[in-house]
Amino acid sequence: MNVSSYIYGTSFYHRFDIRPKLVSTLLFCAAAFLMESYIGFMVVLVLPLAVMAASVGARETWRCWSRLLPLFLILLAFIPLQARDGDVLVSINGFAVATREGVWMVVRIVSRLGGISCALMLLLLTERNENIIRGLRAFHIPYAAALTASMILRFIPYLGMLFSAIRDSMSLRLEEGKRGYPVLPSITALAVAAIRMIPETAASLEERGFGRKGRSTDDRLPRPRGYFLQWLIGAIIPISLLIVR
Amino acid sequence: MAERNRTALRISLVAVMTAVVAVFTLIIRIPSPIGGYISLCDAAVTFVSYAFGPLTGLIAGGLGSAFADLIGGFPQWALVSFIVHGAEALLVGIIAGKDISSVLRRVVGAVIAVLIVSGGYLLLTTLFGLTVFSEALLEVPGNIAQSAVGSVVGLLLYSAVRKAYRGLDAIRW
Repeated sequence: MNVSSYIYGTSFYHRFDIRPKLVSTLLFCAAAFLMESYIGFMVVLVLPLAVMAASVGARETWRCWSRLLPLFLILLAFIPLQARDGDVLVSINGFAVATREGVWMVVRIVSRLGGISCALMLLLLTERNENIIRGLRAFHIPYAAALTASMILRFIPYLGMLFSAIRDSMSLRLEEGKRGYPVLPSITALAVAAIRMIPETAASLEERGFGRKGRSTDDRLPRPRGYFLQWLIGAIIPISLLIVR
Repeated sequence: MAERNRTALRISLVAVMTAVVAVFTLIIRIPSPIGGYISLCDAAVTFVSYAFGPLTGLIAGGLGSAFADLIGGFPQWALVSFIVHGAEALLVGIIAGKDISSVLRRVVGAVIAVLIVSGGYLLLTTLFGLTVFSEALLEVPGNIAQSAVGSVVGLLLYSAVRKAYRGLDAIRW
């Protein structure tokens, strides 16, 4: 199990500071809900796709998008048939196959879903998990919350690997010729192993100085070159979208 | 135990249980027709609520399923999953209380979980404009099956873990 979606790169978006990147992603997601024109829908759909292709390559972009395609196909196939009131665009023997309103609804949902998915995936593909946490800390997310988030991101791959080991050993207990693994014993073993970790983790937090007064480490992010320009770019794109919409 | 130690224990409990919910969600995934997936998420959410109470369930259940969505390539569902599974865990935990031996409580808890998951995804995916109502309806049978099976598996898991690890109550929030 791979917990980090991060793909190493040196693209413009990879070098973008996490703080404007987080704000820009959030603003973009908000803007995606406020679009009211076909041009706006197109920009919401195409812009993150283009940035993603430029940042992580066409293959990875296709991998992310291929997960959404079945949903888009269902939406394309069914919505025009259901939204049959309004201006008829295509009809067969008097039966309205597609109306202007139906097409509008499909385009709106496809652009919103595609755009938001792409923007969020772009953030995860171009930024390390620990940097995202540090970015959140920069916005005064409480220390305990940021610590919990970073611990979660460390435990997920560990428990994933542990589950793989448990599953493999459980599969050996099956009768010869049978494939798979017993699900309930495997997940029980994983849950017990995880619970055993809790007091140990709490003790190690204590040993590392959790709860002591004063900061032992500096988790502030440095300001890179062109920091203010990055903020400007990060804000201009979603704000322009809101104006054009 | 001193308050400081208690806080460290709570942070560890929430972090580990959130990771457990995320891993359970990620290990078995059956794609559904409208772009989501069916998983063991509800089993983990129910287990955490029974074992550690409603508050741990709310945080771990909501965050765990949201993290799984973010990591697993379905980031658009993360907010919906956080609300739905967080609410599911909270209510199941409240209904179960500290004594989950009551059959009535278990049944009511399972029914509530089914209602919240199926109704929550139906309403929120439509409300957030991620799909239309008629398409979200396609997901309802899968969600009912997932949450019903999840409630039973969660209970079985809780019983098995309780036998294997006696100190469960000592780390309950």
